[in-house]
Amino acid sequence: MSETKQVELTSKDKVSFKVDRDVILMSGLVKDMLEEGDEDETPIIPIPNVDSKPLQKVIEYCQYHHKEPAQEIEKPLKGKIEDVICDWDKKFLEIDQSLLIELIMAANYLNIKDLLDLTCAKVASMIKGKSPEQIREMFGIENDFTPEEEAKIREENKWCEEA
Amino acid sequence: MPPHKKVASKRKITEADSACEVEVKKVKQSSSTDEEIKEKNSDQVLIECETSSDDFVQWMAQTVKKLKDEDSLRRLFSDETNLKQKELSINIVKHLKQVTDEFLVSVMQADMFMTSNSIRTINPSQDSYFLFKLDIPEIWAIIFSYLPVKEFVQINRVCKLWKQASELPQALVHYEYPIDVKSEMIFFEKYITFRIDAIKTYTRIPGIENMVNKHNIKAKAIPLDHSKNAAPEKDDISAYCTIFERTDTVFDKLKSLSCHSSPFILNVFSKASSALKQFPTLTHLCITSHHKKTKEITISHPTITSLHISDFSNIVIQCPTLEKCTVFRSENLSIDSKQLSSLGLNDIAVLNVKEPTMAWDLIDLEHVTVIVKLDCPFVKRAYVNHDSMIKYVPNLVSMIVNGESIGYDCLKKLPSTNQCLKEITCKNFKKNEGLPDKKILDQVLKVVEYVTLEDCSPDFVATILNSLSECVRGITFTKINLSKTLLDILDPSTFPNLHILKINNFTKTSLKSAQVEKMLKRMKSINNLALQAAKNTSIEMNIPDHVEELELRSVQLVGIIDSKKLFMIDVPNSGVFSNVEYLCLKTFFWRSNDLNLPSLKKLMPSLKYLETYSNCEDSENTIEFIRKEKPKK
Repeated sequence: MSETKQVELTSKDKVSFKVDRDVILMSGLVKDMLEEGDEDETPIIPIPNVDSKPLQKVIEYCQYHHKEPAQEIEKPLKGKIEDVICDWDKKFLEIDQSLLIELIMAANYLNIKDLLDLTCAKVASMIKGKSPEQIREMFGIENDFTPEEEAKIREENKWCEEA
Repeated sequence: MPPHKKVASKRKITEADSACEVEVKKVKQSSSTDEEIKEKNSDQVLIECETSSDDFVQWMAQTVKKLKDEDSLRRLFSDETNLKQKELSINIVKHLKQVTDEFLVSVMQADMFMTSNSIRTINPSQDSYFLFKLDIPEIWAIIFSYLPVKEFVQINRVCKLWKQASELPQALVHYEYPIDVKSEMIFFEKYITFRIDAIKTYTRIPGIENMVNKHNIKAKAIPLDHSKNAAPEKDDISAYCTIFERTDTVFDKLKSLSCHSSPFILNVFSKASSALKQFPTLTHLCITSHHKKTKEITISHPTITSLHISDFSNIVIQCPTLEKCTVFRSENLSIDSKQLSSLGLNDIAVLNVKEPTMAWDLIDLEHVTVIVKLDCPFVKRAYVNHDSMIKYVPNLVSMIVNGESIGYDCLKKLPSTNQCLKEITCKNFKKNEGLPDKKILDQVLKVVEYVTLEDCSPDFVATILNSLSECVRGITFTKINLSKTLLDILDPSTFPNLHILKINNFTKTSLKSAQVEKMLKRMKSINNLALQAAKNTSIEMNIPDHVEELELRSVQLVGIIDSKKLFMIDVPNSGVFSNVEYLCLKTFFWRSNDLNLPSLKKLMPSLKYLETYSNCEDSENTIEFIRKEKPKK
């Protein structure tokens, strides 16, 4: 039996991970890079934008969903995201917000659509049901609109608030 | 193309520019735990790094590459170098190396921000400092795409970055907004028109995604507010059609669809009949037009069995499995179906039923002006409004004729075409001239069992009553000016089998209660009596003992005088309703706290069933009593 081909990913903080090639092909970025390289060697792919912690989570995700394809998350979310994802994904998302954001960045960089959708849906679930003021407070976002600009947007949104 | 592809491609360019090669001495296996990572990170992991894009970075990287360890540092200096100077220099370079390492990491991190042109505002003092990393509008757009529309339209108020992100096409990929017409139009123009290609799901019907995953779930659109009538007539509705056609995989399990006065859906149906292909399993369809009857519509579908359409000028129905169909207000209706068994028509100018309809049970032609083609030889019940239509319905058992549109000629023509008429309803025969001969009527009505006379002249009523045979089992008078002369026609010898008598719109002015009482007294066969008082009218009447079922509609029960009398129904001194088993009180206004089940039982000792649809304005006890008794029958 032939040995499974592997790929070596190196994180921003210089930690390397050996991953099965088939698994990491879920990443569009890695897939593109592997197509350009020599298949006989174990390629070393630098991931300079992703720290080891989120990279490990990414690999974890790919290893699971390589065998169990992720189900599409309905748009818009009808309730909490936990209601529409599998148990494994629920547990996978039990992370702090900082790592969640790093995961989004990693999924975007590595072009892993299912992971990006999952993590984005998680953030959407956190936003859902909150007013702009509550969102600002929750994410520590400063209101950078001038009073005039904000009044204009409010006026534009008025039709929706009245409906 | 995934929404984030643009961002990813930017990353690749940056990566190529930096051409950063990192060689790690200690290779970590992918299965390592977090603890192992921390442990190895704590080691002095040395790197070799080259950068080609920036001279300064390149120099720093090359310098660091040479400084693998202290030995190599020492080799940089000649043996003649002063030991102190050497140590100092080594310390300076070691510090430099540390700074350089940090700098290189910063260069890599900066890549993230170089690709974003967004205006970003953060507050580093907050705990949510991590959020500053996520300042790529394209990613926020993906996040927003999971929000319901009503929340989506509000997030542009949060900050400039979010406003910018919300304006990207991919930020909204579903169309879902069941609100009034005016708002929907604003929403459509403001949020949808420029992102037509991004819309993947059309949800005019709330919660449709959930419903379509189950079988036999009825979907109903939110009716639009007719009072506003604000939907503009658009010449170019291709945008709406485009959206709708993108739902081909969304509605593949839908069985029933109702679209009430939705200009968008109606435009789709009227302009693009192929839209129905989006509902391959549909069996029930209900479409009502907007306020103007200006639309054309073609319903062509292989599985629809039940269809309701209203307010389309020209309707073409090509549904081979169609069984039941009702159409209201159309100038031209064409139906092509072999399975049609029920057709209800109202205000149809021209009717063309192309296929012979053998299984028809009821045909309503009362409101059809012209019939182009209609084959229904076995239909038994029909509403007709033109004597020429009688040829289409030769074997009628039940017929409703309207004197205003059909005239008396209809009755004259019936004998030659019908020998089995059991039910007849005559409406609006108000003129006295041109009444058919009694001989003809005798033949037409000889086996009729149930007669309804509504808003007809006394002469017409008298003519009909005199022509009825002893087969008659039920008579209903509605809006008839009943006189003593008419009531005298009701005689046991003439109508020995009359069991049901209904007098609707009963008024004191037209008829004295005593005359009805007298008629009821002699007509002992009547055991089912229904009285409906005219508005603002009360009736006082003795109810004979042979009445077993009494139905009182729209009467005002003021109260019980004593245990044996109702104010409205004047019971004789000895009289209780001894044989009444079933009492139905409709549109009944309770005004007495005394009316309750025990007192009713005194009045009607045989009472077993009470059915009421009353508007109660009484005590809780009374209401409770009604609720308890209502399910009995």
